[in-house]
Amino acid sequence: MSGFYVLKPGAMTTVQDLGRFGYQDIGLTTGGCMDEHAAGWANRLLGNKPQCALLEISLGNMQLQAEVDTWIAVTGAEQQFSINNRPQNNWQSHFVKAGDILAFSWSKTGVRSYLAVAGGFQLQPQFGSCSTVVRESVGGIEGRALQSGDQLSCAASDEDLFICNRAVSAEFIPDYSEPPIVDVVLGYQQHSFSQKDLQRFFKSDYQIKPDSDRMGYRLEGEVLTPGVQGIFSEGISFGAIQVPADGLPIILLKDRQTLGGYPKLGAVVTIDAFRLSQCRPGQTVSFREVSLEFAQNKVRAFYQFFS
Amino acid sequence: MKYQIEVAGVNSLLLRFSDQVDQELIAKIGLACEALRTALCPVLVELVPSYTTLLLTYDLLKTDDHSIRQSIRTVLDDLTEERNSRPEVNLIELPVCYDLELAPDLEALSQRLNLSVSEIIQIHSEREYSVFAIGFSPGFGYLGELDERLRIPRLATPRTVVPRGSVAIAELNTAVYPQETPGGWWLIGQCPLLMFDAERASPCIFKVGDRVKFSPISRAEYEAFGDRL
Repeated sequence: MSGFYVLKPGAMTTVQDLGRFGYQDIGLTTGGCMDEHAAGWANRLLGNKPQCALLEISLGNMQLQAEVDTWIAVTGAEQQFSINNRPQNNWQSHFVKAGDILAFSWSKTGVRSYLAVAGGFQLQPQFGSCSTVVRESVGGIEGRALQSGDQLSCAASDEDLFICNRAVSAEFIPDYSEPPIVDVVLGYQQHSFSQKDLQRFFKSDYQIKPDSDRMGYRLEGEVLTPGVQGIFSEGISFGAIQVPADGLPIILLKDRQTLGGYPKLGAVVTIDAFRLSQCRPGQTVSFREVSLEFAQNKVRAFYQFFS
Repeated sequence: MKYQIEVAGVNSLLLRFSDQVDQELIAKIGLACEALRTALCPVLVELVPSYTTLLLTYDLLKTDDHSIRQSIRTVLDDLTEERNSRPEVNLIELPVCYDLELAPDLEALSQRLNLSVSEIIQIHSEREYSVFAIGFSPGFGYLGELDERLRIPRLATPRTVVPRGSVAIAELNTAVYPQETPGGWWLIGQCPLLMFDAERASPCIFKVGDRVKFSPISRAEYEAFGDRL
């Protein structure tokens, strides 16, 4: 099956879907789209199921050539996206023809763009998912980021599948340059932290450190001192906020290690972790404590919308 | 079965069974894990057993914090009543070649621990270990507990490349590296079996709560495995 040919892979472009579940007990992490909000919209614009495989393009600078006529959608990080050198809108679907060149400039705000195709990219799932986890060499194309010359299969689709380009309405498009306020539910070893430490965490601004990646986002700012140092390794939830010996919190994301032995004060609310994943090194974030009920309602509404 | 339930995330709970690690406990956690998997399957996303805890992630579109806590209690309270319920524990025998050429740290370890190489081999291979957790990389089992005479901190400088199949020790544990990865444990031998194989029906050779015994093999026996793989 033909589809798209990779001319320039960019800094880090991977095939992702909603992730790999049910294998953490044998050491496989979930992987999956870092920002399910932008990825969810890309699939939704095309009428795809939410679990369709798409491309996660980190920082842009990527080029593809279409080998089929089909509908695509581009969402996420703000960059200049063009088809045959003609600038196109982000957060919108487009029809492309075989031979067209799709190009992403370096991204200007945000980190991750998503490119979905009608019906999704067709790959052999591994452990139930196409998500690429480079550290485990699992999923995607040979478990690695895309390279020049890679071939991505997808079906052709009819131009009159949709009567016009569909766009996401402005109210749902985040401004990634804004410093986000990230919601947190307390939990895990919260009692290992003094009230003073918890107050310090919620009252201060943190900066994203440069060594943040798909495994976790590292923060620079007020140092916390958990009352316990090491604990027996235990399962780590998505968004868990762990505090290692240097006292600087790390938020564990899609490619997180499955087990960890550092104290954790709680977890970032799922949707807020998606927004956090669009923050760049040096960007400022702050945190807000919310109740579990509030967090669950918010997350439930998100998944009801995108399912 | 005694445990506490803690919030681990928006749709995750951590069941904490004890603050102390022991082999009886990890088998019980394995049993709890299987019982919850069977009973709560439609609403579960993930179960991760480890040492003293079980992380449970659930589908928010199918249940909520209140209902899942009730379901967990029902399942685990029933388990306690079934006095004869014993977890299904497999004993897995792993052949190990302790040949010095395949065991780069064995001689240095012998000096550090004040034991001869053959004593280290004997101590390492004579006891049965429990699989306390699987993580770090796919199929990497934390096996314990190591005999007190073999306990040693991790290497000061981790290796950037540890070969697949390396048998290693550090602190309370021993392990077999399932893939070529970086690693900071002392390498004392090579196991010719694949710890993790995506193509197998059960990709991982063991599950948490299983028992593992190492059996020493000669270099020739080790090479013979190589021919078969």
